[in-house]
Amino acid sequence: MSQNIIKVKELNKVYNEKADNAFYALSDIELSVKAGELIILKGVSGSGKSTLLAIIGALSKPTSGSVEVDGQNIAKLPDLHSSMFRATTIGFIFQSFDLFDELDVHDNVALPLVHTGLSQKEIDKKAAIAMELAHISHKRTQRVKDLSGGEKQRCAIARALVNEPKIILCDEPTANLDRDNALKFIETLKTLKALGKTILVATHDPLFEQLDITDAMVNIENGKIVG
Amino acid sequence: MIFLSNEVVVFLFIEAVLLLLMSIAFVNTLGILRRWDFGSTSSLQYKLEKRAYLVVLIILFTLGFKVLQLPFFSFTIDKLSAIVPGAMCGAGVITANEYGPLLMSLKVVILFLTGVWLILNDEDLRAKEYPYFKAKFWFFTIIFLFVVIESILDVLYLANISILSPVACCSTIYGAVGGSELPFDLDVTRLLVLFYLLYGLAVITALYRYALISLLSNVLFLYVSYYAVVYFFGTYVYELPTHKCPFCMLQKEYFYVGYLIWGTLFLGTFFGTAGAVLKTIMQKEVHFTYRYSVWFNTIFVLLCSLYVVVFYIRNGVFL
Amino acid sequence: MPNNAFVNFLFLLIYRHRVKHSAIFIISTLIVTLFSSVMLLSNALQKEITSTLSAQPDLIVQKIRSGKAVDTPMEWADGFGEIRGVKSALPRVFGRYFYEPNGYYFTIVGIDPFDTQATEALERLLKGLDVKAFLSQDSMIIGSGVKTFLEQYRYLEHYDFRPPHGGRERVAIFDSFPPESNIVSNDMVIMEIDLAKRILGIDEEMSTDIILTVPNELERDNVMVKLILQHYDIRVIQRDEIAKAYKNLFNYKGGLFLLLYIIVLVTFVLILYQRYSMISSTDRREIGILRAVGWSIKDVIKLKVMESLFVALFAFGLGLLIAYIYVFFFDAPLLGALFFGHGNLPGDLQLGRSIDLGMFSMLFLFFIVPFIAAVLVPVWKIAVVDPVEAMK
Ligand SMILES: Nc1ncnc2c1ncn2[C@@H]1O[C@H](COP(=O)(O)OP(=O)(O)OP(=O)(O)O)[C@@H](O)[C@H]1O
Ligand SMILES: [Mg+2]
Repeated sequence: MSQNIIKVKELNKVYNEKADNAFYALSDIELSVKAGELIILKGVSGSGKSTLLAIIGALSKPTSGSVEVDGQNIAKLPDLHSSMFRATTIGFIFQSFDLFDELDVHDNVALPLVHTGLSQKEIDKKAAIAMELAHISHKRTQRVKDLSGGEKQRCAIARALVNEPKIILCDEPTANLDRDNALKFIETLKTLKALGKTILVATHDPLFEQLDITDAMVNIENGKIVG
Repeated sequence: MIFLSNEVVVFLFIEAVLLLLMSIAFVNTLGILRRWDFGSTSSLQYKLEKRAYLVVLIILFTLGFKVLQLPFFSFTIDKLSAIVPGAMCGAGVITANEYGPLLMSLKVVILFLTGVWLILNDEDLRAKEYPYFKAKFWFFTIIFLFVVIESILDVLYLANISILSPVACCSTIYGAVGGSELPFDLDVTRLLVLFYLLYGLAVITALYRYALISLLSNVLFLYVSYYAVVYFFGTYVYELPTHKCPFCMLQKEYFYVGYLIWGTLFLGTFFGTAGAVLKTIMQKEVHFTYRYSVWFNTIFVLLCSLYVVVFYIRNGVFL
Repeated sequence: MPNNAFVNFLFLLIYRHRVKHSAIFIISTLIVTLFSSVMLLSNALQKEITSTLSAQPDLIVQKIRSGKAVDTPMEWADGFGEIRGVKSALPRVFGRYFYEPNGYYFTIVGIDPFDTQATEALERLLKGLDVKAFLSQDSMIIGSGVKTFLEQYRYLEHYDFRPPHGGRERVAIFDSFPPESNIVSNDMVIMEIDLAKRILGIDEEMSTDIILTVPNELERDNVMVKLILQHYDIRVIQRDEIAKAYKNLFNYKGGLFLLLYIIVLVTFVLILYQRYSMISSTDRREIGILRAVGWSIKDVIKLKVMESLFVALFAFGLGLLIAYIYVFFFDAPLLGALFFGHGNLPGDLQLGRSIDLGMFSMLFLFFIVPFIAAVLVPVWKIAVVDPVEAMK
């Protein structure tokens, strides 16, 4: 597989563009990722990692430049289509897990499928598979607010997998985990890579420094890619 | 003081609420249309795209309830016939002053434009670069204009219904006594021939998607159907050869069948004409409208014919 | 089309947020209950009156002097009876009598027990009357409302009327109508015609008005012309006009109430708007999550609108049910009194249990439209929050 699944060209993201406090969160980003690769985005806090991931995941719009993901230019899609794109192509895993605390694990995992037009039965089946993959099946009827940190993250992983996305975007996935759970997460990453998923991880956790499955490390400083 | 009648109060209140919301949408629309630039990646453009959602949301809501308001309006004037002297049904009330028929036609026109807008919006959202964005919002400003006129007419019409001086009842308006009021000097037989011929034409043109002829035949069909229902099929609904009225069939005694009859006729001819209108606006064919046109026109014709057939089976004679 | 999963999720969310929704739900239910009760009641009263009036005479003739109705000579009836198309012409005697103890009016109706009665309703009421006993002394048959009032002041056997020309007329209470008969007979007092004339102060050869039966509807205009040819100083009233006058009255009471009610509704809408505009950071975060996992703005709007709509519909259904039970099973205490107005007597009347499609849609639109209108802008505001910002 050598096809570039992600092609970012001359990407800029400016906050408050016309105001005095204009802030260049990303400037002139060029990035290509091949299908099935695992890329680590490194950089200090505030360097623009999350911003880049959000743009690649069509969750926010660039100020200029082109972003082509899975053959689609997502830089300027209307909301209906960028949402559809997220729903079919992208799985997000966030630092603070971002789950519905009041709902149980299964319902959280099923969320991305609600608007796909699948029947509840099919959704349940897909959710079961995803929970199995993320090793959280045994807690399927438990409310998220009663889960431990590690379990929460496994729930989040299951949710990111449930729509069978080609690309998984992880933003500081281990920042809220102890070492044990962080290592478990890395094991999961290996499984996902084996499944052929393209994975981008934004992190400053040193654990990822000596990872043997990493295809590339990308350093971001002040919104620019260096090195 | 007709304004104190329950239905009138509710009707006007809802019209006012909808008008208020539409005004909000209208003001936003002007702002959007002025600064809209889909090519731009400025945060202003993204803000406008979000704002457009508010406008679409409001329009969907208001237009949706406008659709419900039309049968409710018919119901209201029907109900008013109980307090307006001389009126037996809505027909007398609607002709109580010169604003009535105008208002009623305007309401149907608005309903038609609403339908076109809904389809246009759907097509626009489905595409990736808002191809009909400006078209649909300009179109909305036109609808808004009509709605403002409608609201004024609402008030004028209702304010000018006198509950003291009697109005005519439907048998006077639709000429139960003496001469028929059919257009082009038609008699009922020829009217019926024309009715079924035009139905056939409407179906064929829809099946072959001849936008322009479909438009024409449906407009004619609507026109002829109105008379066919009032002067022929209606009498079978009422089972009374002298009862010629488009309104009485909306009443409970006839199982509200009027809503179904007029509803299917409207939908059938709407879809039959919408194709051509949409084609002009979008420069593109929309296919499903023709299919719906055939369906609703057919249901309408079957429903009308069924009344005649059932009457014949039950009584062995025609009226 | 919301699929199964969407509905499941919607209910789940509503259930989880039930505490948040409960305040609005309760207020909404109250609001629906109040106006549904009034509307159902006024509608039922209208129907009641219509059915009562359908038993009224076709035409009523009154003598007019300086614009006011005055007593009509009884002999006119003979002349009217000869007009073609008139089946019968009968003089009537009735009038209002002021009952001092609590300031209400009775309607006194004079009858000739040997003759046919003026209306079918009267005919029905008097069926099986023991005429001999009734005429053996000055006696009357009273409506249930009248009975209640007379009993309040311990008039159990008889009552002393005070005719306008002075003196007293002692009239024995012969019988009373069953309460469920209907509204119009509620304040009625029926007595022999000459007695009624004495109490009401009507001269012997006079009557209150003359009623005509004209079976053919198309004949009526003709008849009216001929009546006026016989006597120029008369007013002719058609039955339909009375029905409409009554309907006007009840409709307007409802209408006035509605106007006041709109103020309540607008207040409620403002509260609703405020309530839904308060977007907590949890709410924002939830929306951010949904958007991140692939929900579109449209999907979120749909979710939020459905959430409100569900609350509104549920409140509407419950409110309507309560109103229905209140009006039709408990006969609307308090509100009922309001609708009878001042000059009439309260009574236990049975309202016909009915709610038609038009009534239903009116109540529905009146509540749902402002409700949803109030939440549209707040729903939009929350649906378009920036997901990245919302999850920070
Ligand atoms: N809405 C905004 N307005 C202005 N500046 C913003 C906005 N959102 C983000 N920024 C700025 O953009 C920069 C990049 O933010 P981003 O969240 O991408 O950093 P990050 O590399 O993910 O940092 P961390 O490691 O702390 O998560 C930060 O300096 C931040 O303050
Ligand atoms: Mg970050």
